[in-house]
Amino acid sequence: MPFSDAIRALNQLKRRRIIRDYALMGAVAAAAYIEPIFTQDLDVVILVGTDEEYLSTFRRVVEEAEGIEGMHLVFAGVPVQLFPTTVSALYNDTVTQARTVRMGNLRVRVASPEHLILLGLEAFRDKDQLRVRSLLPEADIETILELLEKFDDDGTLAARFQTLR
Amino acid sequence: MTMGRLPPDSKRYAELVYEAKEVWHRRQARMSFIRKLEVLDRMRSSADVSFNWEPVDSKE
Repeated sequence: MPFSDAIRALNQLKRRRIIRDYALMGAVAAAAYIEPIFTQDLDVVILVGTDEEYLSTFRRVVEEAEGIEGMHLVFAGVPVQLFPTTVSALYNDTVTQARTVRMGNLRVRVASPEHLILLGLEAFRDKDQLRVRSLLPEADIETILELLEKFDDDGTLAARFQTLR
Repeated sequence: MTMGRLPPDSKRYAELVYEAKEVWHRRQARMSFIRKLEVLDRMRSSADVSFNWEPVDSKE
């Protein structure tokens, strides 16, 4: 089972302290809350504190991967896209507020539906809009508004959110 | 309703189909995470995605 094996590989990286923490995001994370929607890859946010830590952590993760294709690493045959939390405060919050979801007898760190909605509002492609709409019944609107207050500096995400409510 | 016992009213037929479809989608959404990952695996495998990766050892 490639997706679950790739997630097991992430848990191994955390257990071996190659990464400090992670959260699944994107379509695979959304599947924890809604009906599965087709995706080719696994998107993951990795907790790092600085650009130096990002470089050293990602270099170690590359050594553990089966392969590379462009900006994807390959784990269990699945292309995995890694994002460091230093990208933005929202990414950092996504990891620190991630939920723990059971995957068989394993525990997996998954972005909350509210964080997935904000991340979807950032990307805002057609498929992100579809996912945001599907996640809305699973999310707490007050929490979304709080996140928008904290992370939406110029009001772009709030305006996009209004178009989808 | 089953396809073996069709209602005489075609509009009623369509309503029943949409109700059944909604139940099916709700059931899909309630599946365990690991079963949903299996569904994603099957979708990805049937999509025959072209993906040409190179092993880490030969990347340099």
